[in-house]
Amino acid sequence: MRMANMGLVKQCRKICGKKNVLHRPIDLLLYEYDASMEKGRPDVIVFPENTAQIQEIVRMASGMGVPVIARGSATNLCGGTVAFSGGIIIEFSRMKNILEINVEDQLAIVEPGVYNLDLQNALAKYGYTFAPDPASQKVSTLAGNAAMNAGGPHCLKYGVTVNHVLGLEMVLPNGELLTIGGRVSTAPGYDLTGIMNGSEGTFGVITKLYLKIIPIPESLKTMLISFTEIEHAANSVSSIIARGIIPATLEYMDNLCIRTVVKSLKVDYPVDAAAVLIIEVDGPAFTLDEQVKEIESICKENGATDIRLATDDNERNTLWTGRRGALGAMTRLKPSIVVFDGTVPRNRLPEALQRIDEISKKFNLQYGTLLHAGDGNIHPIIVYDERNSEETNRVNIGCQEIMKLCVELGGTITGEHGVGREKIQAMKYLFNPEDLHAMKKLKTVFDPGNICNPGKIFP
Amino acid sequence: MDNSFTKLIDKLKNRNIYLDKNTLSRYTTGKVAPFAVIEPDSPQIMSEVMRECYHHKTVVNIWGGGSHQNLGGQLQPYDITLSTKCLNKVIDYEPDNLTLTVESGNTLTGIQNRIKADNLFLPMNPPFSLSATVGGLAASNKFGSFAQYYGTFRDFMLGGKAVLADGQLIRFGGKTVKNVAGYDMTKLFIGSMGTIGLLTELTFKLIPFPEKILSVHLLADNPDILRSALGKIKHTAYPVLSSVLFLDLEDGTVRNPALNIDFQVREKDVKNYQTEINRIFTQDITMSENDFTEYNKRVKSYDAFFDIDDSEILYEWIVPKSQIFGLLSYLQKESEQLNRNIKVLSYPGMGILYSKLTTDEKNDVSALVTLLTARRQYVKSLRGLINIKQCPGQLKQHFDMWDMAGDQFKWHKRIKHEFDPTGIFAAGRFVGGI
Amino acid sequence: MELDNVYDKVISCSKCGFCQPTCPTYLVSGLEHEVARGRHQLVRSIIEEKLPMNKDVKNTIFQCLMCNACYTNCFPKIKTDQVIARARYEYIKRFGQPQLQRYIFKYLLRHPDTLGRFLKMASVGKRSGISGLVQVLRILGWFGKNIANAEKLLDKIPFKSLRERADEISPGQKTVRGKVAYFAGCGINFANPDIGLATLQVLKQRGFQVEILPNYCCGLPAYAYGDLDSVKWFAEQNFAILEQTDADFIVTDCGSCTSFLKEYHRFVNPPDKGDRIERVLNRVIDFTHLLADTEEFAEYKTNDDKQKITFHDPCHLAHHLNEKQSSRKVLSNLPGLDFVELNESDFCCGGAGSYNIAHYDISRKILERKLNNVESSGADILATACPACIIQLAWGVRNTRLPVVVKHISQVVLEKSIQGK
Repeated sequence: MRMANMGLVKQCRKICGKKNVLHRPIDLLLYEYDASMEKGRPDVIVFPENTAQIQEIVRMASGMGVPVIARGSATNLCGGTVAFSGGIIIEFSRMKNILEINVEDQLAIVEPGVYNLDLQNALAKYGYTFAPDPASQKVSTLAGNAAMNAGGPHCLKYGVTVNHVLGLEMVLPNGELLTIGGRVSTAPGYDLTGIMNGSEGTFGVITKLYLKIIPIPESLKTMLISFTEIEHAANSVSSIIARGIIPATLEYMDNLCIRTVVKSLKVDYPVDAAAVLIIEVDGPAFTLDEQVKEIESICKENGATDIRLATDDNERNTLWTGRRGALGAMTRLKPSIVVFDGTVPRNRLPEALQRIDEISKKFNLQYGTLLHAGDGNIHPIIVYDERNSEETNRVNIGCQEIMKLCVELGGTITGEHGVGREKIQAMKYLFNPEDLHAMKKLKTVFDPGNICNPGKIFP
Repeated sequence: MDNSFTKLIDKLKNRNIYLDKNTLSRYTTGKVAPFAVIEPDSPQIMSEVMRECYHHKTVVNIWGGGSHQNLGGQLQPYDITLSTKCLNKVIDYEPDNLTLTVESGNTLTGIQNRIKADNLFLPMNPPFSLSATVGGLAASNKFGSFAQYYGTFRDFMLGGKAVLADGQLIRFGGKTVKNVAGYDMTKLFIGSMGTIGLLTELTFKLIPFPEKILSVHLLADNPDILRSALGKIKHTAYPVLSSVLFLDLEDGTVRNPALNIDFQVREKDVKNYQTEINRIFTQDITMSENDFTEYNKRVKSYDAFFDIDDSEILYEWIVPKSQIFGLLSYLQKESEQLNRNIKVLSYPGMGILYSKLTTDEKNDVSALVTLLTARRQYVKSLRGLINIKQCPGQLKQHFDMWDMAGDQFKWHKRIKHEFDPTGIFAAGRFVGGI
Repeated sequence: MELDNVYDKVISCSKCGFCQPTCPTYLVSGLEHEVARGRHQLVRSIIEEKLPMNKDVKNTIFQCLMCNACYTNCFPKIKTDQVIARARYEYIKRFGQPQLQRYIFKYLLRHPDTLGRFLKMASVGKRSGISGLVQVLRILGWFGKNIANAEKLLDKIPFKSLRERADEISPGQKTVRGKVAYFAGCGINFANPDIGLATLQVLKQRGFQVEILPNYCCGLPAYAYGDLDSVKWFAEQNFAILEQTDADFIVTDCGSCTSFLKEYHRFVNPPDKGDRIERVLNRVIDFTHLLADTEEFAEYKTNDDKQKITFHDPCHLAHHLNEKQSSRKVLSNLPGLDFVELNESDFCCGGAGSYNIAHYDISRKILERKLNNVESSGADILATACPACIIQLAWGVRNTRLPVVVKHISQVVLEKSIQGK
């Protein structure tokens, strides 16, 4: 077990106060994980109450060459907030204030630890929303969303987190406080805001976010469409996109997911369907009927067997309960779960699904598939028991195969979860050493000492 | 011409290299012509050329369509011009995936024409799209009024390839709409003004070709009326593709005001939207309905505003969205005090306003510098900023063209240094003279 | 190790973190130690021998409210209370059970008559201002050092228990609609007999024949302190008593008792188990639920004054039994009352049995959040359905001088009902 580095602890206490510093073995153990299967024990955990404390912590860490890992709710699925080589975990559970909601300027300013959903709820009162809605929105923090450039079902129409971040305030490894972007739509110079999003905390620590907010669409229509063949569902997705319709969401669930949610969430999904699509369109009420009709006819052409249209909010919520709860429900099948999020061009989905099935058979994996189908974002959810090392090994190999497949089909290894620790080897499938070297140049600019979340992203 | 440069030219024979005066003068940015113009016809050759330039410490200026060469600060001395003109292939086009990968020398119009056949559209309307290349547009992060709805390059450029200072050809991003594998290098290259790399390939997300445009026109000279019209759509999720406000300020008087608010709608929804528009606008509006193609012609006419002649200065104001009308009345007063004519084009939905001033012989530099200082001070109070996008070359040296807080600049400089340590990409035009 | 029993549970925690925004202790502390995910990982590490069972783990194991709010959000549906009870059991096995707890669970609660006598003495002490007597008796403070806080919780201690006052119930309707066996929870019997009387009265008015069971404590307090051996004793004694009644319904007006009786299948083990347990447990129903099911028999007074009423969901109803509808159905039908929803109505009040005594500071912060929500609801009456919540909420209201009256739902219903003949 890693022993506490008392010198470091003392320094941290001096900065944040004794009550805001943890270092006992039990503390370190409780901060060694996130929602992935990766683990790594920190040396100390600090709970700063303000930005000045973060600056001092980072400055001190830089001086001592100790890693700092910013950690929100640790809901990421890639080992992004795991202290892989020890160091200081900076926790944001004491920085959870929404600082400003300004509908005239259409922006919100928040502290890093605000939950995505808390902001959504606060905005709803003004008829506004923050478009990125990762499945973890109840519990994931906005700084975490930005650091991982989180996605979500509504990305199809509205884009990912980076498209909704106007600016950031960050503490850089030298302790300097840097504000980039801000209250305006664009700023001169290199797009630092763009680079910081998705940098997984490897450039610095986000201490404030300027977020773009948008008015909530006037109305919504949600459909549940069933298919007897997976291929028909996948083809429908391609056809809808090809036909030039961009729904707000276009989600896919396969039979195992359907049966699992029906069983555990008591939702009324067609258990016999090989796959269902959940499609939502939004906009002024008078535009929706036509879109619904069009989508229906495309799906029918592609072999849809049943189409259900939610008639009220209640039914709509039920449809979404099934989708939102699907990943969770899968966790009831076996103790351990791993979700990958490779992404392929949308027209390659049918092929991708078929070949993932072949891979699963080859490695004898029990899996269900969810897709943010409109984005080509595939979530094969593999359930297993991590106590069984042989099975775990098969799962690991299978996952690598799936990521290779996504790259082969012209896609990427991760669409929204991030590289973290988990996918660093897979970065090689996608990029050659020169591409990675160029990325590392940026790392050198901001964090030459490699103290910000080391051991992530790069193989 | 020094020895090593001669060697370089020697090596690059048969690589579309031009040394004739005529060509050199056509590819001149600033006052001094390059020693050579090279038009490599593949990314590999571009990479080779850059490697040689790196080796010979030859400073290059990158040239796309040439439409925005006068953008930004004064270009520092350089040796050769690298043109992307011959990088004009379409690399990968998947209409079914709504993605397109092209080489950087393609003009935007060329691309639009090509994908129109599949009823697709690249949702942007920066000025001069006929001659401007997508590489150049991305490098200078140009956008037009459609950005209000569809965003800028950072919202629909998914990836690409670039040649770095040392000639290394790298790939970044991809052709999926979601991608978080590693740093988002695409964002780094967008708007980098050719200071850290040369884009050779770009991948875009496309959208279905818009069907119909319903435009609301309003000609009120009372800013309050314009403001209230814009207020009708501000807090709604209507598909407002573009809202553009034109006016001239003459000695404190508003002249020729025109506000166009354009809704992108599907053919089937036209009637309903017409009713809706008539319902929401209580102002004295006129409405027009156009096919997107026709409409696009009207939008092209906006380009004229950005066609800056040798005597004009183009200012770009970027302010919080609520401040546009405050800014307008500031300019109104300014025009009165200065006894000047200020031409204005604004995208109020984005908090962006362009203003033009005409300089003349009498205009002394110090007055213009004082004006810029006063404007910077004012716009700072709005928590916005002001850039000079274009101005007569001889004035550039007197202005800080880009409005950037001091503490930020250091980081931009470090990025430049890391990617281009020996200064192979010509400096001067970007922030802080990078 | 006995903890292995919960290994399958903790290993299936996917560490998604969805327990965070639901967990009262996490929300006041912001610590991974104080949320189900952390608690599961801790127990797992102990089982896997990566962490010794030492005194450092005490807070994480003992500061859980066992409210199971996490369960509502939990994807793999891990019942954290079961993990925690097991961990506490293991802990006290290792480090010993505090003497006072041993006295309470192994003696006092097993001898209700002695407990009753003690409480009478305490009551006299409290009324006559000699509250020092309570301290001496250490009745309420299950942890010695917190006795001062414990004593403040109850504003007065009733002299007579519910059982002793059963004769005060007026006769009910002539029509008999069914037979109810009333399980008198300790919180009602000893601390809040008025509530029990109201409950019994309402049941009679709605046409039920009522008997009061000679039951012991349901065992939940022992469970909450990890004394699983005592739990087994209480469950077996009570199960025998429950089996003897032929009543149609076994009713309690304490949400905690109801949910814990429903858990007896985990603790009793009669031969031909399944059938016999099912026969008993199927008849167990919370008073609130029965109220909602018998709304058609209710006869309410007409009433013109309008008061706002809101409802605090006891954790054992909301999270353990997933029962939130009944109270609303009943309250929104009452004359003269305007039902308003309480923000975060199913967020623990911090009472959690005697948690408020054992973990005074955390409990107070949780209560503060609850009271803020109560205040912004603008309600005149705060109803709930658990005596422990009532003690906690009433104490909070007294301290903050919030202009709101805390009542059990049975008291609210009784006030609005026409006395049966």
